[in-house]
Amino acid sequence: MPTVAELYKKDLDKLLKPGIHFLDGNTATAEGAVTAGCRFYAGYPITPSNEIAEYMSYRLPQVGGKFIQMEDEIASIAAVLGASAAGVKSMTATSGPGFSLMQENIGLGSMLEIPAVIVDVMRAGPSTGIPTLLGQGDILQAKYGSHGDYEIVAYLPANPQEAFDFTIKAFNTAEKYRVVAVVLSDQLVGHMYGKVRVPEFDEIEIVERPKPTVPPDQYLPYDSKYLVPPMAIAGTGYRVNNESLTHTDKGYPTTDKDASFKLVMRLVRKIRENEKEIAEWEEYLLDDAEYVIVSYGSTSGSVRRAIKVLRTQGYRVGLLRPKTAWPFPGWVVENLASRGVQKFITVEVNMGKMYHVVREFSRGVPVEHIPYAPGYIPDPDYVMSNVKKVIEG
Amino acid sequence: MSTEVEVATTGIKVELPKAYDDIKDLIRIDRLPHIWCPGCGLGILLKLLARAIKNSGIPIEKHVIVTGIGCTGRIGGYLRLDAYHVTHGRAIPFAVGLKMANPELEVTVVGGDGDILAIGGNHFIHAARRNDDINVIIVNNFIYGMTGGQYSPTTPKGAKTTTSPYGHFENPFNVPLLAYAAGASYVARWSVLHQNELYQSLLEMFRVKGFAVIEVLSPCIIYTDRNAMGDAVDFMKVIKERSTIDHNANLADIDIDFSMKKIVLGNFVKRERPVSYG
Amino acid sequence: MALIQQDEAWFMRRLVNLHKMKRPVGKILVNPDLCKDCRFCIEFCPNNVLEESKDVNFKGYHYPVVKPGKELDCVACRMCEKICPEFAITIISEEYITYDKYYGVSRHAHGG
Ligand SMILES: Cc1ncc(C[n+]2csc(CCOP(=O)(O)OP(=O)(O)O)c2C)c(N)n1
Ligand code: SF4
Ligand code: SF4
Ligand code: SF4
Repeated sequence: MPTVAELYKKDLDKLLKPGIHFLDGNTATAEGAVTAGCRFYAGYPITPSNEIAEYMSYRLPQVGGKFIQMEDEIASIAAVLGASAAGVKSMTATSGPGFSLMQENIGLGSMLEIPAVIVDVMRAGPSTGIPTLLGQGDILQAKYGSHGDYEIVAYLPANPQEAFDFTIKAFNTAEKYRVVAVVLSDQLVGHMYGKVRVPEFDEIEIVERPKPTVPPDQYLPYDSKYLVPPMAIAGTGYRVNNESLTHTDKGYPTTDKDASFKLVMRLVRKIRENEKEIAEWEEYLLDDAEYVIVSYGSTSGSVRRAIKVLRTQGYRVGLLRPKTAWPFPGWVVENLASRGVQKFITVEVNMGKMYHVVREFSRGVPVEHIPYAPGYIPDPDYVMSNVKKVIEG
Repeated sequence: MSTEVEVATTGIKVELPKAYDDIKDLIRIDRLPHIWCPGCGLGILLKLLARAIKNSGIPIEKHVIVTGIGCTGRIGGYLRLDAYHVTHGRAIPFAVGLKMANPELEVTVVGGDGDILAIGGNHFIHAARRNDDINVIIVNNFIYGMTGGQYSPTTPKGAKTTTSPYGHFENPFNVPLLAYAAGASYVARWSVLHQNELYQSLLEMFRVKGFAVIEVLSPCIIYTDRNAMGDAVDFMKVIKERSTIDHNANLADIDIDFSMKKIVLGNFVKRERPVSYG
Repeated sequence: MALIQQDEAWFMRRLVNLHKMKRPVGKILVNPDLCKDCRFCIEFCPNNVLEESKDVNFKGYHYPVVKPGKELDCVACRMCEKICPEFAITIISEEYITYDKYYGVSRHAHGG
């Protein structure tokens, strides 16, 4: 796999230098994108994601990229898909209301198989909610928000370092599988300052979308012989029809039973069959845990602290922290359930989202959710007392 | 030499007549006959657009067509070009992304009046305001064709549609005026009957730097049926008899009302305006 | 009245150099399978050369055919070709006809 050092040779001095930096999560996300090769940004202002757009408007021109503030989020994601179709790695950033507006075109990106990255800095909802405070309510929307069957990939950074790293990963996965990748950050991660270590440029691997190797007359844009067909870039002479209607391998609209099913199958298989390769998670004190707390993003910091204290009091609790919401590492939950875990407890800032996902894999082991949605993460005391309540029944 | 291709859906062999040898490379012959109704004007536009692209002087592989959803949106699928059939109303922002990412591309959006001016209306005025260097062909058939004849932003007051059974209560857009006011560099209105003028206008659109808009009046039998206007032939005859060409028309004065008594066509606007990101 | 005047004009010209004056005569090619019977070609032909076929194509549409007696009336103006939304009708304009021949045939057709 090529690295940043090889791919962006002439830009290296313009990238954030390897070494330690002190950044907020939103800036780290933006720098991660620039390091990953993102050279186009389209977005619409929304708190608490604004720092990403503002930083990109300043940063992209320095590296030969382009920034545009569109008329709304629908236009933003459409422009991102257009720019990526023209061969430029592209991204947008938004928050709840904007993410809702983008859903239809997430389906478009999935159908046309155009790599794109969306950063959703989650805030409290529903509706306009509390723009300046946090929520973790977009987890299910990220996967199920658009109509029909498709798959996306979603990362869950918990701090500025991960905001940087996971944005690079999001670009790599988007390119590798030709999907929309979402970075599900949250208001706290976005505004939290922290240490960000930028690895040496020859340590950062970069994936680029598969390119056609055959001449135009033999090229099929949606060739079902591949799981991820090579992608022809607009203007390179392949002259293909990129079709949002259900289409054949050739890109022609179809209502044929077999062709339709084959297409939808491929769109989901490309992620489902590679879920073990894509999914990432962290296990904390799980080896002997009887009670497994599932938590992610900024909330997981508070949970980690609670676990430390609970352990000193003799509770055998541990943390499973998914780093990817999608694909969800369901088999890890399954293994824990088979191993004899007593209960799963989900701690997230919502009324129960990942809770449902954990239940899907818990093999009958009870799953309890600790509801919390006031715009803040629960503090360790709150987590501790509620976990104790769950354990003691 | 004409090419004979078997059509996947029907199994019949279709041959593109010799007269189309010049554009046979640009038409997806294996998809003919196209899906449009008998009497739909879109087939005429398809041929003219293919010819204009061929003779635009811009390499064919640099042309990109972006369309939204609707009968008009199907046009890209019949052109052997890089074509993107995207979501309803979103062709313009998708095109803006393409053009910004690769300014060498000649990006043309083709869409219906609903696609561009209703659901996509916001994108339309903002792209015109920025004067993004893309082309937009708005096929105005006065109705939503694809969904079965509901009223659109260009349906004249009084017209009957499936959602205005008592006659439409709203006023329509005056498309050239809107495009001009929003900032387009080039604005024209023609009809599919005005082949030569429309063809020249398409060529001009490719030469223009900035946001170029052509409103193309086109018959839709769903519209004429509902309004007892006869069939597509009768509609074309109305255009033939009532249209006048006035390149210097006062744009505020060129609404098309239900009676269609006055249809003003022309190349109305051509102006130098700075292009965004140019 | 007008018709008579026009006839007289033609008559005058016929007298002068009919055998020298020529015009293109178009060969009309129709691909019945592509036609959807919109009648644009029939209605907008300036010489009224075309009419609907009795037959139908594989989709059940009538397609244009040359009206009996109008075999030489197509002047290859290509209006039908240009206005056809379906690529179904095209014109080959390779031959010319002189007016003496045209009127000869014409008279014969009408007189018979
Ligand atoms: C988001 C969304 N809303 C509605 C539709 C349904 N729809 C498809 S085409 C269309 C309108 C087409 O009318 P117009 O744009 O005027 O094009 P025409 O078919 O007349 O060429 C609508 C409403 C859709 N596809 N997507
Ligand atoms: S519904 Fe109207 S616009 Fe659509 S194909 Fe038919 S005639 Fe054309
Ligand atoms: S070429 Fe002209 S004269 Fe001949 S059939 Fe067509 S429209 Fe009529
Ligand atoms: S114009 Fe074309 S489609 Fe219409 S009747 Fe004539 S040949 Fe057929």
